[in-house]
Amino acid sequence: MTFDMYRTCDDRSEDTVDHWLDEALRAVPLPDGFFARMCTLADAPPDRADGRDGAAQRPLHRRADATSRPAQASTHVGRLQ
Amino acid sequence: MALTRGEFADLIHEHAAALYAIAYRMVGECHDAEDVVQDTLRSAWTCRERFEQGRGQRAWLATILRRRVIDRWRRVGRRLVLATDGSLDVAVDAIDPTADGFTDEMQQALAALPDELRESLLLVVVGELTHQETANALGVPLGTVLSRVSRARERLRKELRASASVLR
Repeated sequence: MTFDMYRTCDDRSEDTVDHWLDEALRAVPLPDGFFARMCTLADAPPDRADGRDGAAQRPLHRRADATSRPAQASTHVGRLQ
Repeated sequence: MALTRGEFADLIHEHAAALYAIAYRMVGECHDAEDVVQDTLRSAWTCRERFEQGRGQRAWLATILRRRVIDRWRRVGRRLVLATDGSLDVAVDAIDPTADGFTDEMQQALAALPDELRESLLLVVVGELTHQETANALGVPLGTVLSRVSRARERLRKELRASASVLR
């Protein structure tokens, strides 16, 4: 979601602007494979959260396949005019 | 009642994406954000005995996430000051607006907000917590959250308009 639609909209009231701001704030793309990695936590929930149980505490995305790179966040949210 | 493994899986499916969005908007970098979400979910599982059915799950997780963000900034050495009301106070000048993933205008506009405004706005808008849940998470009165969110929106509008006028 970008502000492109906002730019084409005649209604630029404060509420409308806030609506598009909210949409832009939420518009954070998930990295590739994010849910797959998170689901491994559900399949084998960690018993400790203090970082002392080795591999289970390592960031999952850094153990993932190199082709599964997280996406960058959107670099464009449009502009208010 | 403690969280079961199945409920934990449901929590992940229902809330992980929103947690990631909050984390990304808070830390401004995709790998760090994912690490924070993982830490949050691990903490949630570790604290599963304290899980209460019916209580706001998103609010519970977002509260944990906020603590994990603070922990992370402490660990990586960013200047972090906890205000007396417990709000998140991280030096904006420690954030490089051109660093990984931190290049969109919204993220830069967010970085210009005072920390207490930013975290209130993110919990309400991105986390979709109620104002009362946000007040509970931050340990501040409801009126404070209402005021902060309103001021945050106003500041954000100004920041983005200023950005647009410079770039035009």
